Amino acid sequence: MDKIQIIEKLFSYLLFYSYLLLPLFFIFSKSKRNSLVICLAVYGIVFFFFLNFFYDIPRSFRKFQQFLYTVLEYSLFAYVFFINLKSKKLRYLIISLSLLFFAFLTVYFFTSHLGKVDSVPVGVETIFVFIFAFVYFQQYFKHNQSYIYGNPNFWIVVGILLYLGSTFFFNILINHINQQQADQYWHLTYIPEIIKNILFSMAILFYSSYHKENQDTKKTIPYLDLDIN
Amino acid sequence: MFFLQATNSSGISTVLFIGTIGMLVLTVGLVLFIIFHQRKVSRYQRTLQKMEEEQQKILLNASIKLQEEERQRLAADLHDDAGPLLATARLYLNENLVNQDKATQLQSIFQARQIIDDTIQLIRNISHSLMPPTLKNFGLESAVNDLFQKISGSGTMNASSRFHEYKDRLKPEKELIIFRIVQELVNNILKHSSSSFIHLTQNIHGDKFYLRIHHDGRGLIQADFDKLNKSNVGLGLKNISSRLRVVQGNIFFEKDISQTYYKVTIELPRDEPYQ
Repeated sequence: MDKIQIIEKLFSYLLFYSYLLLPLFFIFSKSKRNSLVICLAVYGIVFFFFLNFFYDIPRSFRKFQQFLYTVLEYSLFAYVFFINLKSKKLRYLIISLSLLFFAFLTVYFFTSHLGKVDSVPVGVETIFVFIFAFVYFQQYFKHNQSYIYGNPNFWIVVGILLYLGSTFFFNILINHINQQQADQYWHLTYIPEIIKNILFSMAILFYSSYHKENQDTKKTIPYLDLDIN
Repeated sequence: MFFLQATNSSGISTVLFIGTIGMLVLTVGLVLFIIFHQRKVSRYQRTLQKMEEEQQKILLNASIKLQEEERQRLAADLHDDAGPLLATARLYLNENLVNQDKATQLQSIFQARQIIDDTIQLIRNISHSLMPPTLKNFGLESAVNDLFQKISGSGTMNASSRFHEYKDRLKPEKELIIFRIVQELVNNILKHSSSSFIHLTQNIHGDKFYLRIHHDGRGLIQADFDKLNKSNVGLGLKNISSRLRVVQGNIFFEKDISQTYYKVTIELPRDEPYQ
């Protein structure tokens, strides 16, 4: 095994085990009842096993695996934005686009041929998630004045953006390049994915202190209305 | 798609590399932009908050200073006027009074009574300056009319006031605050404007209560008022601001379009009629 292959193998292991950081941090988290924290922990466990046994499952299921991977990943990302947006209209927008996306995925599943990656759905997923992210930032600045980097949701969104942004071109073009080139780039996409998992894990930890701070702030605001009666 | 069709495998590789780097730069740039932009906005908000606090501090100091001046005036009135009067009355009613003849006794008692009456009047005047009885008993309209009649009666200036819609009285606390503001404004006009007339009108428009004072002397415009309010001078104006803050009102200083008169408009939210 040459040096490059060892490094590639190392990256693979790093990526697989980085998913375990999520349930691990969940154990130490004080916000175990938070639905997003639970979802992130479950996402970590599911994807750890999914990636570990990806190539152990017969190739005839590969197309379904790709389909499932995209569905699960998109569902989590859409859920992150769904619970962070308070406007009913925007929530409806997320639901509508998601239903549209799932319908498209199903049609694509039955009509397309197996490729290295399901490029088109991943491309559409990235575009949708980027739209949600812009809406999230716009809404955040509209309703909040606190520092955004003190908010754990911000780091989750940054993780998603970094991961999808960095792998966007790779996912779109992978079916147009030969296997040798694909292998060359494939391992590079692990870096943003690992960063994403680290950011998600940090967000799980931040959640505890963030909720505590928010509760404390609510308690310490005195009644300031001036009574002149 | 055209781009993909037009490029060969190595070209795609370049597109992939440049595209990935571009997306990465874009994403990182976006995140950094958001963070720096928010820091800038927060810094600006902190500066605004600091300025607001400074302003509050100036107003509070002005209010305390005014209170102290009022106390000093009261103390001086009581010490310099009521004190000597009562001491004189005591002199007339000293122990030797019983040893004196009846005529002298009667004269002394009469004198003492006269002095005590003066003292009562003096204390009443002090008390009225604290809370005008007309305002308490008959309301803002009567108190303001009374004030303007007194000014007009002095012959130095033509003063008139007219309340168009004041069937329902405001709450007594609010009336007192507005009366004090009017007093301060009138006092300023008398002291600084050299105007020949002063006219006050009251009106209601929508859910707002308005009082407007016109005069033809030297006056202030809003910019002057804001400037004086932020400076260390203009104690009376700061006091007006702090009183208005209590009743959630606004004040506007303008020059009439004809450039002949100055207008001072007090705007207050109209509240439930006071029974």
